[in-house]
Amino acid sequence: MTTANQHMESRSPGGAEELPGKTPLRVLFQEFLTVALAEMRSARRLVRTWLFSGLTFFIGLLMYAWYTALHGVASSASASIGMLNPRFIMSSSAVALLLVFVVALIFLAFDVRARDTRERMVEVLDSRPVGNLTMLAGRLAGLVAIAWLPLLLLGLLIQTFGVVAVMADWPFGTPVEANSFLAFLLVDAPTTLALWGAVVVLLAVAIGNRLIVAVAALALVAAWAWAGWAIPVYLTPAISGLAASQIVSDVLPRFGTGVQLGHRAALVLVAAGLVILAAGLHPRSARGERGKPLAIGAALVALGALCSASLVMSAMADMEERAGWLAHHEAHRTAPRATLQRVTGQVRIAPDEAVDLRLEYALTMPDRAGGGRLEALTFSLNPGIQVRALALNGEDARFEHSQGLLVVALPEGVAPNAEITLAIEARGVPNPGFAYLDSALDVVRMTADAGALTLLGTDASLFDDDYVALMPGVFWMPLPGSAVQGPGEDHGADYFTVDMEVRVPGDWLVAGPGRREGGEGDFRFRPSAPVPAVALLAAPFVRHAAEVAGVELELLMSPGHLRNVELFRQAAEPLRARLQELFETAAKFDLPYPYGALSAVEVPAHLRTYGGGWRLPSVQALPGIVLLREYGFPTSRFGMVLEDLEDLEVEDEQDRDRRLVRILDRFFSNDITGGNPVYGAVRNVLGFQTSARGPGAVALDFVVHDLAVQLVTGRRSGFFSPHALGGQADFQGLVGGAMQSFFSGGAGTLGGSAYVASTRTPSVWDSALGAALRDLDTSDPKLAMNVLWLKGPELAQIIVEGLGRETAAAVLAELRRRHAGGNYTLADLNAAGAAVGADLPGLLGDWLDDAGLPGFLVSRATTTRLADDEQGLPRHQIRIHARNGEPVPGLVRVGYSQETNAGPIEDRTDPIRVPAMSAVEIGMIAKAAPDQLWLYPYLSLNRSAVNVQVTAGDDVENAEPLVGHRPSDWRPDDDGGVYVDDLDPQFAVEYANPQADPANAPDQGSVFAGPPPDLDQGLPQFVPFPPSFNWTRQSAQKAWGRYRRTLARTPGGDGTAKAVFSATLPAGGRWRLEYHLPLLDEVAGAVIGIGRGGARAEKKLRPMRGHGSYDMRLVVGGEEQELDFDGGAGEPGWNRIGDFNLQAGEVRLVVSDQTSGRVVIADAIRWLPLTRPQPES
Amino acid sequence: MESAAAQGAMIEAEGLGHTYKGDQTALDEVDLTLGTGLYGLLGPNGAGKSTLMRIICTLLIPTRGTARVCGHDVTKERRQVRESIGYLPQQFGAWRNHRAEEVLDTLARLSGLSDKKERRRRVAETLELVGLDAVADRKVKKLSGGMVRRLGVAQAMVHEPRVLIVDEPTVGLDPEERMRFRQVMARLGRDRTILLSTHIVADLGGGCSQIALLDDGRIEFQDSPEALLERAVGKVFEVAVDAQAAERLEADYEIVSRSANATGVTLRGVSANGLPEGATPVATPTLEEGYLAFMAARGRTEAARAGQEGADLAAETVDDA
Repeated sequence: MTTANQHMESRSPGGAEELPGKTPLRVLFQEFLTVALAEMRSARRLVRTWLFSGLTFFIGLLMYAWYTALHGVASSASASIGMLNPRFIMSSSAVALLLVFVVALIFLAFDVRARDTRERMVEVLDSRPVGNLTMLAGRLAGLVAIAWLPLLLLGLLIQTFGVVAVMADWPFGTPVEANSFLAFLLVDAPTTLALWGAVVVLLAVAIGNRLIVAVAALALVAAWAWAGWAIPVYLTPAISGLAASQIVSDVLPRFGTGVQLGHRAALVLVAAGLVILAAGLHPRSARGERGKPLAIGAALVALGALCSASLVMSAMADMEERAGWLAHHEAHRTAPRATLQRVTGQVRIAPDEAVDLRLEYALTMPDRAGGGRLEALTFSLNPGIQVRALALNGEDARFEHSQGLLVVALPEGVAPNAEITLAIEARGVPNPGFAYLDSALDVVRMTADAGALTLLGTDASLFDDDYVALMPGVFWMPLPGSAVQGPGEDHGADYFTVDMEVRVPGDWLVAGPGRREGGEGDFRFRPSAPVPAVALLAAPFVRHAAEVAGVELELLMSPGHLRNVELFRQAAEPLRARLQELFETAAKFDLPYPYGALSAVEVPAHLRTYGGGWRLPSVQALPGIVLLREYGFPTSRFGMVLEDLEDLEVEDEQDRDRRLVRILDRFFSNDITGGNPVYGAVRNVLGFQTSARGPGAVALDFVVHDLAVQLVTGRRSGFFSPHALGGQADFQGLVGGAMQSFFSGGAGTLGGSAYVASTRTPSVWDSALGAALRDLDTSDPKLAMNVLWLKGPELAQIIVEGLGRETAAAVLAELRRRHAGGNYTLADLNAAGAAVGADLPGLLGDWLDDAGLPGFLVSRATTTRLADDEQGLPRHQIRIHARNGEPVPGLVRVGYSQETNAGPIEDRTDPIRVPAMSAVEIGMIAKAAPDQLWLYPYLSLNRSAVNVQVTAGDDVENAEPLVGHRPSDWRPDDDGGVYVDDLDPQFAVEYANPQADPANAPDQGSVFAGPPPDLDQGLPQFVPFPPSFNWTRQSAQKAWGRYRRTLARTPGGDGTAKAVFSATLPAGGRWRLEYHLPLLDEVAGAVIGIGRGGARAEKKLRPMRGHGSYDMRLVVGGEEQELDFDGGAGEPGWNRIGDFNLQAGEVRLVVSDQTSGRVVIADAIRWLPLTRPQPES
Repeated sequence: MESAAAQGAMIEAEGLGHTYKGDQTALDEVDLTLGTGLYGLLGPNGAGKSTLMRIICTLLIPTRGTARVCGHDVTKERRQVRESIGYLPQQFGAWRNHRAEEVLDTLARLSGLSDKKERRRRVAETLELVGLDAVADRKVKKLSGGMVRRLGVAQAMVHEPRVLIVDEPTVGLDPEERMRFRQVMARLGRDRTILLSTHIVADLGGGCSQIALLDDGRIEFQDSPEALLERAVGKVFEVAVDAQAAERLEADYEIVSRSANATGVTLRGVSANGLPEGATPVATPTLEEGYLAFMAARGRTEAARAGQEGADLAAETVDDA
């Protein structure tokens, strides 16, 4: 047995005897490892470790399972749902997952010192020759490892499941994208856990009491999480330590940006510093020993903070630079600009290196109305591109390129309207930040609340090893004018011809305007029609192509995303047929596809697919190109819906393939992110040939484009408003409203439901009626967009259905013929219409300059029996009068639905034009007398279909039946009464406590209830849940109203909230007061589609309950009189309150919220004269 | 000048003193020089024994004076001191969810035993030495109080330190375990320095080189056990009396032991001021009697007895746990 001294010799480092080969660093590491392993052993034998590990594991698994199920089931229904792909889950869920694990770590680490004391190990450990730092660092490492291991296991399980799912070709399940997964597992998670573990260790050493440590740590984590949520997105990589803003992509996988990795390194520094601080504060430290670790620890923390701060400063500098660009370009907004006529030249793309430009421009000088010499021309060119040489008309020209503005000095003698040439050589990499400078929503300046918008991409251009996207918005090539000069408003968009040679790496393809010529990296684009912009997208694509109706259609996909292409290959023929049909329809309408080729190109998720300005329009359609977002078709799962297809009875292969095409059609129709390729393709036939200019150009373009889409595809263009995705409340409101609308039958598609949910709200209507489209108030761009969406497609539909498809198409064809390559105004559109015999002003009125809409009053419908037809079948004549009470022409249809033994019968008239301030009589023949009839106005003050009362007659009519319409002089009966409706200005709601008035203290909404209810002409819109305690306004078919049928309602209260109907009696005499109660069925806020589906949309839920006596008072000349009214005994319709002798002048009926029942209704009142009114003396 | 270690002194203290916050002086002018061997540290509760031990183990920075272990200053060369010592504190526990051998293995590694084979050997050896080999794979929370105490002894010894500091090592041990412990200490004391603080004088056994008596923070006696015994001669008595007389004597003198016999009771006790009537002085007092006699001479018999009773009570409590 060796002696103690001999053993001491064998292991004593740093002492008098040192063992050869053993260094202090190695000893330190061994000690560190020993402590870490011991800590892991302690932790894994704690119940709470398993509890938290299990919980975090389960939560992570649940997240993945939810995404997997949702994506597998629903992504085939809409290209937009593809954003919820579990493969890209890190971009949306990494934050939450990491937070859960950080909280778990707190509860493992919070008693790291207290446990030693409790278990009476503290002195034994403190007397060991292990340094404080080694001890604490080792324990931290052990705890981080314990917290991280469930993450690793979770990741392995998910990846294994995903790989198996892919190999077994299951309809759902996919591994998480590898780079994002590894970055999260190996970089984000360990560094974040290390940071928070170090914080907890420091607190534990400094405070000791584990409860206080836990509370303090949780508070800090909560504050940090809140900061990550509340700070602008552009600061997130530099501050929050969470992978919040990372967009995950298969096409452009990124392990992490330089900023993110730099920030993680900063976190490690801070964590190290905190642990060293803890070592210095350790109770075991002698007073004299504290100084050094405290100093080093503080220095490391400061260094880490400094690193992070420098990243922040850099990000802020980028924002300031961007703001500087905007200011500079705003200042040059009205600078004279030439008109671009032609671009020729060479573009050489060296991925991840630079783009070289050698371009020659043919320009027309601007007109100088005021005379005088123009000294310079302005162009916008991305600041990342450096101009090497510039020549004007063959001579070197002076120029200045600063902040994205290229100012070229003009020599003497260049006349207005002269043709000039500009040759430019430039090289560089476009700065993606220089794009859409005037965006109403700048996603990088928004907070994490704008998560949904972030998923539409953040980079306006891409220049990477594996993908290059030169989008027009980044001004990768010079374009005339300032970068914030929106098309249409002042100068109008330029349309120019292109002859461009493009060189890319040999195995790459490039999509551009028109048919691509050449190969092996050298290509040429010279489309046969002018273009408003040039986009080039290049990558090592896999290409599939076909010739359809003389147009070369190609699909350019990432090599890893070909599964769906193969899935739908079997439907190639019906797909081709469908596309052929679309192209031939366009050609038939004299709107042929102009470019000879159309490329559908897959783009990485990073690429921003919406533009700037207040509109933020989709940029997924470009001349000759439509973009397929990576999160859409390329990665959506069609397995389940195809399995369902297998289960259906199909007639034959062709039937099956046609169903496949319908699946695809539905998929793109339900897209609410602006990416329907068909609608994008339609833009080529008109929108990329000519566009509007001047005031109202945006609305004009909008209507004309939708008209083109409706003509070619038979549908409206899909709803897309980035504003609807701009915040969690907006996004949830959109999704919730769309789901509600979809499941209540309001619209047949998710896209349609989103449209209805966004546009058919009272505030949008109020805004639409408050200003003409030419004068849209863009200070609230979301509202302005919704107004555009409310009116635009409706106006287009009026044109299509009012003129007929052929005539409407002829208008567009004439417009294109006259203005291709240039711009047009409303007058030009009307002139084009007149040239083909279409009276657009007669159909639409002054729709651009006038906010007014038609409003329809309708008579009762009468049905009379006619003589049976030749087959002996019964015939019933239906007659109805409709009057347009507004000075704006309108369009209506009349229809009915009738249940018969043979099934439901529906019929509708053709669209009927009703001129301003006039009436028409409409006749229909039906096999049976309908119970219900509906008037379907197009875009009117009625806002929805109008239910018409039907009176059945017994007589057999022998007169010539009326089928169609004819002018009529019908007017509503004038009974001399004074009517006050809840929508009239004479109606008001008064609160004894002003704070109870929603107008003064608007409901802010809540996490549970969602966004606050919309205001409908001053009153909150009625929603069934959550219940409101105030007066609200509800639309109801059985309510009374001139055009809109609404009522005000309130739950029973204490009598302090009152509805007041004020009326001015024209003469003294005896007057009868009547109170209108709607039909006593409660309609629970179903959205009624305008013009279509109204009958189906209104649901009768249950009889109204809780209708009791009302608290009513008549106030005349300051005197009050209590009135008796029992709502429970009332009848639907007008109910007599009483007869009164009154003088001419104002009378007020005050109805409080006090009732013996549960609800008070204030719909309408009327004063009927019982005696001949006496003229005022 | 040769180092203290070279000269044979493993523990040295010079003018060592410590005053806690609140002006409570726990140690005052302690001078100590200990070489190889077993040293006992005796004293009543609050005498400063634990304070002295914690200073030597670098767990406490003295407010006055210096101390060195193996030639290393306890305040300036703390790591070197810690490399040289094994410490069993008065209150000892271990990671409850670790197995006994895991605890030892971890603490051995943290004491510098990096070689795995050697470490395993030492762990097994030490467990056998303290009688825990049968429960090596049992978790600490499943060990009895005595077993935990033995584990504490084991962890102090496993890395074979040059200096062993043990504070109340036999609390909670049964008599057999105590005897075994004494044997171990005696054997270990042959080639290392062991400073053993205890209330149970018998723990020191026959192998004890020196005894230091600490009282009120001061070393009042530092010499061999024989010297203590010599001083006790004449102060320790034995007397046989009846029960009634025994009661009177117990009230007036410090009675060390009591045994019944056919005629009455035989008492052994200590007295600083003369022997009771009929008592005969004990020629060879025990060490415990010597300690009590010394404390009696200082008028500290109550304190000494309270310390002894406290030690017995603590032992019972640990046993119960």
